[in-house]
Amino acid sequence: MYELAQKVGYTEEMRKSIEKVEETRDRRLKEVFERISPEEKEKLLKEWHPDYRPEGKRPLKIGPSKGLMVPHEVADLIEAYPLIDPDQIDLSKIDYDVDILIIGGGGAGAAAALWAHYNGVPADRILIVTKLRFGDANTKMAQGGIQAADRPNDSPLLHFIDVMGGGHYANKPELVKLLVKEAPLIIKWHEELGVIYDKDEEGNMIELSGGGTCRRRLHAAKDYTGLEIMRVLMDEVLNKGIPVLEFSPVIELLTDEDGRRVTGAILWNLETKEYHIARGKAVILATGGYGRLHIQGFPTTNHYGATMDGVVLAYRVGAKVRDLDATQYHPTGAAYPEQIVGLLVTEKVRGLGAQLVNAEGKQFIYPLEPRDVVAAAIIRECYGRNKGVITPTGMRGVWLDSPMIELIHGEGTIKRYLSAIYRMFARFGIDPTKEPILVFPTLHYQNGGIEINVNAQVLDGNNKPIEGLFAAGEVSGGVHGKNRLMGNSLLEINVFGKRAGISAAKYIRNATPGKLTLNHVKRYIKMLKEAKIPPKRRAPMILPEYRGEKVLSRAISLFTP
Amino acid sequence: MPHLESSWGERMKLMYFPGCTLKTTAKNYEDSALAVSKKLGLELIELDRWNCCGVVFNLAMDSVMHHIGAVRDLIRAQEMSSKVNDNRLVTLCSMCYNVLKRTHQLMLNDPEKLRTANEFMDREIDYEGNIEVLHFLQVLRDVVGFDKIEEMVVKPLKGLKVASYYGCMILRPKEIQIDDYRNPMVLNELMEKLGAESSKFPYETKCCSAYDVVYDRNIAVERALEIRKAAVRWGANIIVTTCPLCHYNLNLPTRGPEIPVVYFTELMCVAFGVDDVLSPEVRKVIYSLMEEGENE
Amino acid sequence: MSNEGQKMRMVKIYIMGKMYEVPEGLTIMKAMEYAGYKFIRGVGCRGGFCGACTTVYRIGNDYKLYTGLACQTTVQDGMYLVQIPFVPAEKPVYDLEKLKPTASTILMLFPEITRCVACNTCTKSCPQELEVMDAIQALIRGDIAKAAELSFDCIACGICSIRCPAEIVHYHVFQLVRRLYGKYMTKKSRHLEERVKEILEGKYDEELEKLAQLGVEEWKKLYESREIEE
Repeated sequence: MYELAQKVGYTEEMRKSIEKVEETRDRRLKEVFERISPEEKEKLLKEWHPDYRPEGKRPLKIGPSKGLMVPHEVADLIEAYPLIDPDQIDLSKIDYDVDILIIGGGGAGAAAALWAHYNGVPADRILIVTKLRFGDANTKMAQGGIQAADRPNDSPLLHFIDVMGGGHYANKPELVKLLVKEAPLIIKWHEELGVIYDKDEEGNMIELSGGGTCRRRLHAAKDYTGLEIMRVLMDEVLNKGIPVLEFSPVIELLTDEDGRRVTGAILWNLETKEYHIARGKAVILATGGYGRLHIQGFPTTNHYGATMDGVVLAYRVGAKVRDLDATQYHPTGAAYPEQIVGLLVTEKVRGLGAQLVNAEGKQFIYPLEPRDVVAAAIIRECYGRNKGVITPTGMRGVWLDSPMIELIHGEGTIKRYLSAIYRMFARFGIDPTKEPILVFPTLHYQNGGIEINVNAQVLDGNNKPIEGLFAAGEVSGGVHGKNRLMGNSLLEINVFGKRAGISAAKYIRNATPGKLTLNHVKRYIKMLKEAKIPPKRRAPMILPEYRGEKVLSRAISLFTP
Repeated sequence: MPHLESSWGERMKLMYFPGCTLKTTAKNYEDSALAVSKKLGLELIELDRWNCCGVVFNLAMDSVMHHIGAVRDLIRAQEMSSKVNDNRLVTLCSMCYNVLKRTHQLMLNDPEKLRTANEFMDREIDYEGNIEVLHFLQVLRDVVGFDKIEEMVVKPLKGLKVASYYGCMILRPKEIQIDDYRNPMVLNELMEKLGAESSKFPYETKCCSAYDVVYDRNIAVERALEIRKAAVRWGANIIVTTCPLCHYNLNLPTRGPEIPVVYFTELMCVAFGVDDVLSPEVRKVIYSLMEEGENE
Repeated sequence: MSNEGQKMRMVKIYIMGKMYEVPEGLTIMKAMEYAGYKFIRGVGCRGGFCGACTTVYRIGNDYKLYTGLACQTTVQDGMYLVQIPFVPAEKPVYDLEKLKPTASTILMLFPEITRCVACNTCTKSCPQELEVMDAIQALIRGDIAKAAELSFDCIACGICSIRCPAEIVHYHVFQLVRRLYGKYMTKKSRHLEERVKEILEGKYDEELEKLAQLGVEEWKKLYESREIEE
């Protein structure tokens, strides 16, 4: 093809290790590494998984989930002051007055909008507001697949067991029940919308295994599954005429006087800095995850805006949160070259047969264990056993032997079914069809989040629904327990986005627009002061700060306001 | 490049440029031509990659940009010519023939234009000007030979009185004509070799009105009427054409005489006994005419 | 990320004409942040999937215009760059249920694709290195399947459309084409339909309810004893 302007390729050192990988490849093709026993799994996770490091977390000092252990980065944002001064905001002029306000323009937001519309809400009574562009979300970056038990030798019952086991049985069973039962319906809905899932000539879905699944039930659109789903949903939202307001993050929710009902939100135009008041009879939070918090200093697979805004906003309104210390580290983030460190290398690569191999060319874990197990195993291999590869920048990693895929499934498989991965590495002069790629765990998914019930209603500290507030997608917790399986996130956003849309549509039939106050914020500020939290930190974060140190130390803001 | 002699029994390979309509509204033209070629031991190999030739409008433009598409097709043929060991590019659509041939000549006659085109297309190899563009009729007459075609006839087209309609694109301008534009005979001779009666008629080279059908359908309808009336008056019971646009225009519904219009390759299919590629309607029309004609 | 204490090699890049010295090896995106730009436009997933950060650039005195994603392209000395934050093109509204997967559907909604002069500028501009022109040409001759295949990896960055002399908006065309292909031109999955029917009839309700009530010990037993399909 065309000249790549930036051939990086592997160093001499790394090539030596690759030779060892190539030497053992033929033998390994016939080798299946033994699966880990439950006892070994416990030990491995306790000793090597970042979630289990007590220094990484602390208990929350205030709010409905006071005492809950969360990572420091999360606590820093929750124990933080609002961006606005409640007394300085004029709530009397309403700029957007709708029935359903959806905060977040990713997969869950789009699904919620469509299903609210299908259930009778006119398009112009719905409003999607999003921080960046419509579709800028983690959804687009999901690669490998979406789970649904639709083959004859599979069933939602088996799917249920997989989800519970993967989540360490900490999941809320009623949420899991909904997830697995709705799954095939979601795939059918997508098929009708024109999503191009991988199929054979007869129309049967080509389904693969993921980590921790007992059946092959991952539907994929090559390795652009998330992108394919998101762009079809976006296209359909726009076809229905549902309005979307871009570059308008929500900086605070609005509640009625006693704060028992959420009635709207304050939007902030990222470009003009103007704030707008939006009133909604129902508000759906679909704000996604927290990768850009770089928990424990890890790089992340997440998009630019994944800054946990939704959790912060909901917590101030009194929502309970759970499992925020259950951070999923995707075992295979790119570890080389430097430019793409942390980016996702889909589990589908392992699903198609590639093995994880250390610097000496030996396997050390069964590649399709649940993600937390594999991640811990890789960290142990690199830092405990010191059998990882070390890159020129000091990054450590193990080999993911992708050429095996070509040997197992035929030449051309990677270019056809993993074209995103191929492209990602080919841009830097590495050919995954011929050379293994280097991987290391990367911060990937917020397993926990806002507490919801099976109607996608947000629950307070007493497990009672907060009126008018719904949540769906990565922002919510309880579906995946302590560890999400591959393919259940794309599923969750659809199932619970749909559920939130339907629930909200039902709720607004008997609802009237509510009063708009910031009383809950005033109460929160009081709580912060009582807990002696200094006014240094502010939240929500909205966008991460990546500007160079040198510039930041000399940057001054001169335009007023 | 040397022409390959073909000894019958061997497959001769020629590069083939379909053009957009041959894949959509004129698929029947392509199907019948390929069936006929197969019978003749000719393998028409479609170019691996090709784009729209740009239609005749683009030839009227001075801007090199409007010739790029056609030049790129010639380059694709050039790339493939080493694989088939031949430099001939065959088209079925008379318009594509006209555009490709004239573009090739334009480039040869204006080296500056060719240089500009080559420099603009910096991702493709340079066009060196050595592709020979042929219309399928030329292949049948000059490469295969009409005598061979006569040998292949298993069902002589008795009863058919064919008006051979040439239209413009394969005869004008003079530089690219495949036959004498004043008195073309190639299609007539072909029809006779197939066993049909062939009639010359005054409007055989009158323009079908081409794209006027898009701007003012009445012009095309009137023209179709004239041509069909003339064919009937001169004793024909069927018209053959070589171009999808002529085919479309001549088939426009008019008040005048009903006379079927088909592609010449469709008649060849009947004559060669490979009529299963024809649509049931076309087959019915041809066979019933043959019956009628025989019974007279 | 990079080792401290080690002297960084710097390169000169020009962000919209203004020279900045940035460490070698950074991506364009990180280099611009190093230089002090806080992205609002021109950033999205930072991983090569969303098409927000396409950068158009030249290098030194080379006349050639290059494109690349800022998040996936390393800076080079002499790089002269700009980001196109937005490409103006409203998409037409349609009801997929009412459309047929034919060339005439495409031409009805996007008649301008016949203006394609096959200049190949779109293909040359594509940061995903797709055969964009071939996809449009396939549509002109009604080959929807081929266009869907060729355009699958499109991330809708819009650079092809901004540069197209015929003013075609390729990514909108391709989105429709792919949906038509997915909905009408692939066989429907029969096993999926059967499973959906079973679920809607309530076949799994009772057992799922029982499963949900079991509790950790039972779930553990079921999980550890389940048979795994190879």
